Amino acid sequence: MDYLPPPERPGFDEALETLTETPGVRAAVVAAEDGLPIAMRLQSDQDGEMWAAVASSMGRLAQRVLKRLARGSLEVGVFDTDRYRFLVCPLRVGFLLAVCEPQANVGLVTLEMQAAATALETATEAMADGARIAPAE
Amino acid sequence: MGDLGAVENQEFRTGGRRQRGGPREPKSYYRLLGRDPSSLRFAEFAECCRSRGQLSEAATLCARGLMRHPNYATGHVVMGEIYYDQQLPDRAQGEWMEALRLDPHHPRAHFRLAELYAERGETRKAAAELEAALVFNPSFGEARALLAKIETRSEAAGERKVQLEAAPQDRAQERSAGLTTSQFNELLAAVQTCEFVENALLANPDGLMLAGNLPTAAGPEAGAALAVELAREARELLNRLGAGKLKSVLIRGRDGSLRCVALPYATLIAALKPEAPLGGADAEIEEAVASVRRLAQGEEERGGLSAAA
Repeated sequence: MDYLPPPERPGFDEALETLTETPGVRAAVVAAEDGLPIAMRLQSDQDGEMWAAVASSMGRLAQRVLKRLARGSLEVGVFDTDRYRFLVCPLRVGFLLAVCEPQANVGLVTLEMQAAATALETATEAMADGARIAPAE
Repeated sequence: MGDLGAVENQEFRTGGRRQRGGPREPKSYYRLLGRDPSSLRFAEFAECCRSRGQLSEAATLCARGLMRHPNYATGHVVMGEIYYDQQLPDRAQGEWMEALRLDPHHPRAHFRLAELYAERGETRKAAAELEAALVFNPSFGEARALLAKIETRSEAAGERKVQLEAAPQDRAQERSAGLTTSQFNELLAAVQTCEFVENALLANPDGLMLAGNLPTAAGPEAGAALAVELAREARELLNRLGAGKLKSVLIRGRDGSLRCVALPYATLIAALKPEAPLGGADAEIEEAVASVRRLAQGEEERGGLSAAA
């Protein structure tokens, strides 16, 4: 499987690489709330910006539905089509999307996504701490 | 993307071409849109103005709303109705066809096209659109009445009975769904036997409840609209991306999960209890969907909708 070189995001790369090594996962994207891509691990023929927009749209849709039905905050959303299985979960920076084969093991991918989300949140905090303690010029 | 909890008034949804009193006073809509300019209820407001004969205002409102929400199929249906009332049938047809491109299951769009085709004397096309409207909303009285009128007129003229156009494979299967309320209730009863299911409902493509119950903060009727909007938005998103045909959605929240299944003629949504495992109701839901398909096939074998030569 060929991958595009990911952007330089310490901690993000490792988390996404581990996630995409899960059987059935074809791509993983971290997207901001507004749909802009933050980090991605893709096959060479895939459009990362599109998947980032998908992540944001699906995540926000799932959150709105849960809010209307008073089911609490979003943990994970699974959208099944005849071509893909999409899993999306929330992050502090936005959403994490796993693009999977239609028959991917939802339970397994969900576990790996939870692990990836924890690692991504840790990396996000580290980046934020680094910015806070950086000496002023 | 706007107010998912909004429930389109039934008169608004199935309202006839003739003008009638709108569901609300226009000023209440101005207040609503002032608070939330991005609300999807612009379509309801435009319909209110149209029904009062305020076509220019209706057109402006609807056009503005569609600029914000170009993929809102119902908005295009209302825009088409405005154009029609403004004696612009070609533009009206364009809007209704755009609505069907966005949502092939939209009964009102099918119905409006059928009326237009009938006026032009294109009875076959009119009948095909009416059959489609009735597949996705079997209780659509106006569509049924118009179809009967077209068929009666054809017989009186000594023409052959209307031949339905050959349907694609999936529509041929969908056509067989002339299901009754009791059958929908049976489907839901099967789902609700699952110990993990808290509530479930079936909604038709117009967001109206067919059976069941799904309490929401906005009231039980809003649950049906919510189920349909979830399926529609997901379907539209996936269509735009070329990501395939939507089959189902599963959303797990901290206080419970939802399973939404997009059926050809209805949307099923089941709310699972907080302690339910993620796949807790899958077997019951799959069996319920399969049983409805068996019922629908039974209707087809009894000669549901095939036209005689």
